[in-house]
Amino acid sequence: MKNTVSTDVQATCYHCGEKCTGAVIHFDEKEFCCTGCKAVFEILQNNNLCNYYSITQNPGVSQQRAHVNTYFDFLDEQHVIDQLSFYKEGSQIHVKFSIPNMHCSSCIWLLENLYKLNHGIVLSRVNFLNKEIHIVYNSDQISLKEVVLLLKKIGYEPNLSLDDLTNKHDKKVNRAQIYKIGIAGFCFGNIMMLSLPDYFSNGDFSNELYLNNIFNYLSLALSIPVFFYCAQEFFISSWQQLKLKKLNIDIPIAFAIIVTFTVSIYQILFLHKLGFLDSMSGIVFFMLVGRYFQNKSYNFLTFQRNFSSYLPIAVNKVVDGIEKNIPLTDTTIGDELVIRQQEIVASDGILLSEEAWYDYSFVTGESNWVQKHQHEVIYAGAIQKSAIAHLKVSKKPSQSYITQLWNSKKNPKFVSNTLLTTERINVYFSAIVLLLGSIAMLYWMYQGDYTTGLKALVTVWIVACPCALLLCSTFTYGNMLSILANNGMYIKNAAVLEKIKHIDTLVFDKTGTITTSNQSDIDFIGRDLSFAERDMIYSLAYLSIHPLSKSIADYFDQNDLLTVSEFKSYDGKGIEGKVQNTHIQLGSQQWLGIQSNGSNRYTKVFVKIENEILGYFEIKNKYRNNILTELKELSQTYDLHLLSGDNDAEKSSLKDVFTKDAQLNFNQLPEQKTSYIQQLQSKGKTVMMIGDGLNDANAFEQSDAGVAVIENENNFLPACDVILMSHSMHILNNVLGFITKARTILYITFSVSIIYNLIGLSFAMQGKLTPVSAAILMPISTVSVVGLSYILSRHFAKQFKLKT
Amino acid sequence: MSVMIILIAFSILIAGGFLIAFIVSTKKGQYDDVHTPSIRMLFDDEKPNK
Repeated sequence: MKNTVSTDVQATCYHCGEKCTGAVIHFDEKEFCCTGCKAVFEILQNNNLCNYYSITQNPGVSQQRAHVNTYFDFLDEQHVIDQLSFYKEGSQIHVKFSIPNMHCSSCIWLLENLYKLNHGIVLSRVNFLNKEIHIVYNSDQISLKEVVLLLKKIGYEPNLSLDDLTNKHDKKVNRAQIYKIGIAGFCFGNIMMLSLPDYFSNGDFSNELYLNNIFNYLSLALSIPVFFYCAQEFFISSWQQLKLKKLNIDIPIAFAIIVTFTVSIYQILFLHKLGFLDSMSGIVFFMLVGRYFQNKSYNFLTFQRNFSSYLPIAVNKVVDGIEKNIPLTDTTIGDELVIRQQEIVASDGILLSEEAWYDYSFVTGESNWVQKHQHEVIYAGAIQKSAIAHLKVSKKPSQSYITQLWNSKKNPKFVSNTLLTTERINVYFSAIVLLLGSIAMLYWMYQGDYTTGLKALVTVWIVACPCALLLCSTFTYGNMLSILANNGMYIKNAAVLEKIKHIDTLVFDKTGTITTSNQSDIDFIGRDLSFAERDMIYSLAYLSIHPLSKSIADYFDQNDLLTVSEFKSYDGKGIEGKVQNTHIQLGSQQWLGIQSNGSNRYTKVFVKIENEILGYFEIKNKYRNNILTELKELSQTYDLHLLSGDNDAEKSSLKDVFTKDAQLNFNQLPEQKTSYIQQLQSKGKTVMMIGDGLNDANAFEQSDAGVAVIENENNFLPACDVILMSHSMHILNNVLGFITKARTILYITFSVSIIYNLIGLSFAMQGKLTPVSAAILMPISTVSVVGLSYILSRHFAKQFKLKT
Repeated sequence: MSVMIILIAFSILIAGGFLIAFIVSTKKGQYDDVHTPSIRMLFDDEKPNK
C-alpha cells in the first residue's frame, strides 16, 4: 500500500464523496480528499468494518472542515461524567450524545457496530430522527473521554455544549398523546360494533330488551375512559380559557362532548335507547389524531435554544504555566485562558497576547474580522481567527455581553396562543349551530313534542359539531408543515403558518443570511500573474496559519509548492520569505508602505515581489447560490428591506434588488434593527425577519415571523418561529407562495364539510336523524375532508415545484 | 341470541388484549423512534472474516 500525493482534478473522495479540490491522496487504490478521510478509512479497514462503504456510496463526512477543538480532557472529571451520563449500573454507564454528522444508513450501521472498534463499548443504539446515539460503556475498560475520541476518530464528533452540563437530563418522553389515541381508537371501534345491531334493525332491536340493555351499558362503560381520560385536554384547555374570559376552539368541542355524553347517559339509563356515544368517541378519536398530526414536532430541532448551547463546553486554562482543560462552568474571574484558531471565546475577557483577530459576525453581524490588541476587551461569542491567544477572564460566562444581549429580550411572544382565523370561524359557526339547535327545539316544543325537540337539539349539535370543520384546518396545516419540512423549512406551529400568509414585507439580514458565513470570495486585482509568481505566492501563503493567508492559499489551490526560506511572520502586518532567491511580501497596505487610495471597503492583502507591487487580493462575502435572482423574484410580491450590521461595501451589488435607497440599511445595531421593524409595523406592514445570528434575536422577537437561516440542524440559533435550511434559501419564493395557498385549500375543504353539515342539519332539525345516519355521516365527512386536504396540499406543492 | 353475549365478551377481551399490548409496547419505547428500525433491519449479517 503506497501513500502518494498527486493532483488529479476529477477524483472524488472514496470516504466522503466530495470532489477532491486539493491534492488527492491515493491509498489502497482509492482516492481521498484529505488525510482525515483516509484516516477514518484506515481505522474501518483495520477493524473489518468496510461494510460501511457498501451500504451507501461515499457515506462519510468530509474531514476537511472537522472541528479544531480537540480538547476533551475535561471529560475525565468525575462531576462532568456524572452530568453527562443519565444512568449507571455498576461499571456500566449510559450516555446519550447528539451527533450532527449522522445522515445515512451507513452511519447507523457503523455507529451501532462501535463495539467492534472498542470492546469497552457494550451497546450503541442510534435514534436517527433525533440524530442521537445511546451508548452503554464499561467504565473499567474505557473512559468517557475515550468514547468521545473514538467517535471523533471515525468522523462522528458528538456535539457537546454547555447546555449539557448545566441542564439535567430530564427529557422524559411524553407518550400520553399516543396512549390517548390508542384508547380512544379502541373504545370508538368497540362502541361502533356494539351499535351495529341498532343501526341495521332500525330500532326493532329493542324487542330484545335485555340484550339491548347489555349492549348499551357496555357502550357506556367503554365511553367512560374516552370521556374522562382521552377528552381531558379539551376540558382543561377550555376551562382555562373560560377563566380568562376568552374563547378558544376547545370550548365548543368540550361543550359538544359533554352534551352528547349526558344525553346518552340519560337515554341509556331511562329510555333504554342507544345514545350517541359512538359519535362522541369518534369525535374525540379524530380530533386527537388530527392534533397529533399537526403537532408532530421535529425532535432534532429546537426553536428555543439557550445561548449557552452556542458556547463551548470546555476551555483551556493555564495553571502554573501548564494548560489544563476544564469545563466552562468551573472558570472564575482572573483565570488565564488559551484560545486557538476557530475556537469560540467562552467568556468576556481581556487579551493578554499582543494581537489577535476575531470574527464577531454572529454577535454583531459584522462580516470583517476585527483586530484586537493587548489589554482590549474581547466579548464572548467571538470566533478566534488568528493562531493562538491568551486572555484573562473578566466576567463570568453568565454575566457576559452575549448573555445580556440574550436577556434583553422583552416579552416572550413565542408562547402566546392566539386564535387562528379558522378557529375563529369555528367559534362563530358553533354559535350559529347552537342557535339553530335551540330554534329547532323551541319549534318542536311549541308543537308540543318535547322528545323530538330534545332529540333535534342534540343531533344538531352532534352532526354540526365543529369537529369536521376543525379537522380541515388541523389536517391542512399538518400536511403543509410536513411538506415544508421536506423542503428544508421547519415551522414552529400552525399559528405561525397562519401568520406567514399575511406577510407583505421581508426584512433580510446580510451576513450569514444572503451571504454565507464560512466562505468568502477572493479576487486578485492588479497585473496578470505569471505561473512562477502564482507558485511563489501560494508557497508563501501556505506556510502561514493566518486566516487571510489560508484564503489566498485556497485561491491558488492547484499550484506547486516551492521551498521557502527565511520565512517571517509579523503579527497584524504580513508575512515575507524568499522563494528561489526572490523576496516576496504579503501584507497590509501600511506595512508595505503603499499610499491609501481611499476605498477601504474590503479586506485587502497586498503582494510585493522584490520591489514591485503586483496588486492586491480583495476578500468579499460570498453570496448564497442564486440568492440575487431569488430576491428579485421576491421583490415582485413583497416589499424587501435589508438590515445589516456590516459596512456598506456590498451596497452596489445589492442595489439591483433593493431598489429604493431607504430599503438598504447598513451599520445597524441590534436595537436599531428592532426599531426599524417597529416602524414598518406602525405603517401597517406585516413583517417577516430573515436572519441568522444573535444580533437578529430581538428583531425576530419584534417581527411577525422570525426566520432563522441555518447551515445544519445543530447550528446554534436564537429563538425564532421558523427555521430555514440555508440550502433552501433559493426556493423561498415558492415556499411562501405555497403557504399563501393554504387559504384556497381551506376554502375548498370547508365548503365540502359545510355541505355535509347542511345535509345533516336539515335532517337533524326535523328531528328525523337516526343514530345510524349520524354515525355514518360523521366518519364519511371526516374521511373525505381529510383526504381532500391531503390531495390538495400535495397538488399545490407540485405547482410550486416543492418536494412532497 | 344469548350466545351473542359470549361472543361480545370474547371480542372485547381480544381487542382489550391488543390494547394492552399496544400500551405496553408504547411504554417500552417502541414508538419513540419509528424510523431507525426500518433501516436497521436491512443490514446484512456479518460476513465471515477472511
